[in-house]
Amino acid sequence: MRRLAGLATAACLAAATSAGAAVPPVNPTDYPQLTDQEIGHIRHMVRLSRQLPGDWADMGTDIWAVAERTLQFQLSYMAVAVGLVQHSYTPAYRELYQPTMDQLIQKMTLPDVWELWINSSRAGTFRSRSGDLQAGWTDPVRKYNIMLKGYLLQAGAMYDMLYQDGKYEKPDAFTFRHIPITWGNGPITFRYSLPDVAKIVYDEYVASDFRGVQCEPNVVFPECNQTPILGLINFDQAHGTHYANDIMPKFKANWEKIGYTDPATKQNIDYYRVSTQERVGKIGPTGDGWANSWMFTWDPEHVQAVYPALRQLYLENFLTGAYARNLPPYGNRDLISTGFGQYAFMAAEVGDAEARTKLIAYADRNFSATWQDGEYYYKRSYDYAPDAAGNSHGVDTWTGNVLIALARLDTGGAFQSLYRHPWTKADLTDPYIADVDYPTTSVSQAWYDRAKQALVVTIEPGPVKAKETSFSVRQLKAGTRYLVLRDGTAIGHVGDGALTPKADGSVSIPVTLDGRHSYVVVADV
Amino acid sequence: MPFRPRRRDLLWAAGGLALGAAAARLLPPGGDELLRALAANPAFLADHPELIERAAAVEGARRDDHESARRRDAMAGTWKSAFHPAYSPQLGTPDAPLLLIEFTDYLCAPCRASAPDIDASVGRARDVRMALMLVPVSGALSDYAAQLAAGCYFTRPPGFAALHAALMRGGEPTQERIDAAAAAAGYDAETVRAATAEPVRLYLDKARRLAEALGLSGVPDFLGESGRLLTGGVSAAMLDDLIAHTREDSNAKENRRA
Repeated sequence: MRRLAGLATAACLAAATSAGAAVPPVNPTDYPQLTDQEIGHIRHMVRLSRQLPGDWADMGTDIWAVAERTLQFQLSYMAVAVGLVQHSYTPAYRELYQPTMDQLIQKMTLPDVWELWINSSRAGTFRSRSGDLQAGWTDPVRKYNIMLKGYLLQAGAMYDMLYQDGKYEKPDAFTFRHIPITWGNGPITFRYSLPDVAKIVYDEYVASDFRGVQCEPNVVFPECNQTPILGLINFDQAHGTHYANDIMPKFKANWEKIGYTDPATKQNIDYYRVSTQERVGKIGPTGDGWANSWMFTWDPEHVQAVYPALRQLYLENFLTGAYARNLPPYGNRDLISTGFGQYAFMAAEVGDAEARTKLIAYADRNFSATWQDGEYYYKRSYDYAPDAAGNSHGVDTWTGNVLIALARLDTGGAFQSLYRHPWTKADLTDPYIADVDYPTTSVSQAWYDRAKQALVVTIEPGPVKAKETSFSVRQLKAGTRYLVLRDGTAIGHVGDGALTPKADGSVSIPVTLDGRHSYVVVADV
Repeated sequence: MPFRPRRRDLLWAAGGLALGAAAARLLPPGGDELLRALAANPAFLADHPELIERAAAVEGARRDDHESARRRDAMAGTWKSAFHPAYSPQLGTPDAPLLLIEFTDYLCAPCRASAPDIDASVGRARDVRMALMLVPVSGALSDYAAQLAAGCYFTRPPGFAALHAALMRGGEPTQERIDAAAAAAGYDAETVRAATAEPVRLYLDKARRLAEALGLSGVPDFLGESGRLLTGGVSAAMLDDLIAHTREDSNAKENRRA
């Protein structure tokens, strides 16, 4: 349930206003706010981002589990989840989210993540029907492998849209180091910038005649052709290019012509075999949720058209535990829970509040929900077989670390909104908060309302106890007089007493960590 | 499906490695003749796999040396100031000529398990100081412990060793135990944290960037001035060995200088 800060705040603010200050009414409940569980999800992702490169604790080392072996999916989904919270809940609090996003993105360039490509590039007969294994190639970006670079592009372009710091414009922004010992042609480094990746992806859409970029050679997965388009949307917004606009109508036409979606069942195919123009298999809830949650941003009509049939097909199966009655072989069991997680995320993004609520409740009841040191997540469990009540308790790390979190954070069209309302340079010049003591302090709300010239911040105790703390407010507009209110009660004007700005112009706001408190710093005009 | 190399693959791979290495570095001037002979008759290497194994060992040792040199250069160059007592918590003998670096986290089990042996080894070696690089990777409590410990050091260095020992060797860390350890060492947690936030932030940021620059993937790690690295939990004997190697390396450097 979303937080309600209470009417008292508004009442107190009104009283303060009537006491002489000329400020507009500002009610924190009018702005998005994170729940305790959502804060817990973010804290978990922050911790995972801070593990040293190569430390995959709580993320995956089960090489047989698809959801763990393909770490780029967990990493990129966590990066965009963090980006979503940054954009939609706490835009005025960036010091936590920016490095977290960057660290998650940079992990995608580690060999543990991308070197799987070397084998994938060799294709073979399993899916591609391309004959015996080919020579393959090592470079993970040059051609194909949209299953890596599509996600790198999405997360990187979102970071670029949010922070505009030029970090990913550098030629070595994404550096892949290959250091073979017993084979190959010696150490080699592949360096790419975000514009390089965007251009390569766009060129591959063109080269495919807009049928989709291949994952391993000869194979196009519908789900992996969603995130690159979203990445290009953000990229175009920042760079003035028109990659996504060119791709979307042509890819949509091909989507229908090829039949990526079965017109009868509304399920997507498993994959498209390029050389023979074959549509192969049905993907099931993992792939349907995966593709449609992202496709909703750029082709909502399609997703709205297929969603009711998919709901009919999947939802009750999940809620009754029936989805886990027939367990697949060990190596694919994690796909049971990724199906749950992807479906939940899709339901959330399309705005199916009832399904979203029920699925999250199921997860909270059955998926080893864990509170640990302020983090909230679902710890990996292999207990997939349903219990006597029909509930499955198995959960993979992709679902447990981020997919359910996304379902919780996304109350409907959250990503659609993010891609339609990108930040501009002006967003980064507004007042914001910094110097938050992360172990002791959680920020559940940080929003600057430009129309009211009001910075709205809600602070609450973090997992480490402390009596007092403070945070800084930066980039207050010069020449403007600001009133500071705590829980709706004026505590003074900036410039007075304890609220005197420091040499760098920032103002330190003292906080008592005895509960949740809202702060409003508003222009007194 | 995972790739399972067969003996033949390994032989050929190692043979290629040996040939490449020989061409590049192993052969003395005039070795071209030997290289041509081997290239013309690769079966010779297949018939003498012990040569391939020895070449692979040489290549492995070279790689280790290269990595050690890279670490040593980093320690002596870009990162040198990070190990100065003004910028990082220290254990052992102040002003000792030899430097060891430990990357650690108060909530990491192998770090804690190694603590008694570290104390014993560094305590014995009177010519060693140890610079601590706290890299909290275990969540908010780990952040807190690292921030507080570093803050205590920057506030009053002499009390730090006792605090560090208590944090590493006390019971399962909780905030209460961490605060109590600080109090027992004469620090007030809230006061210290409020007063040292900025230098602590800079120090922790530097410690993490150094760990990443060195390619570390977890804690604990122990690095000698020679560039030799021990990763994971250690016994006193392992650390004694690292100290001895560091000492030898330092003596050799002195002799060269003399």
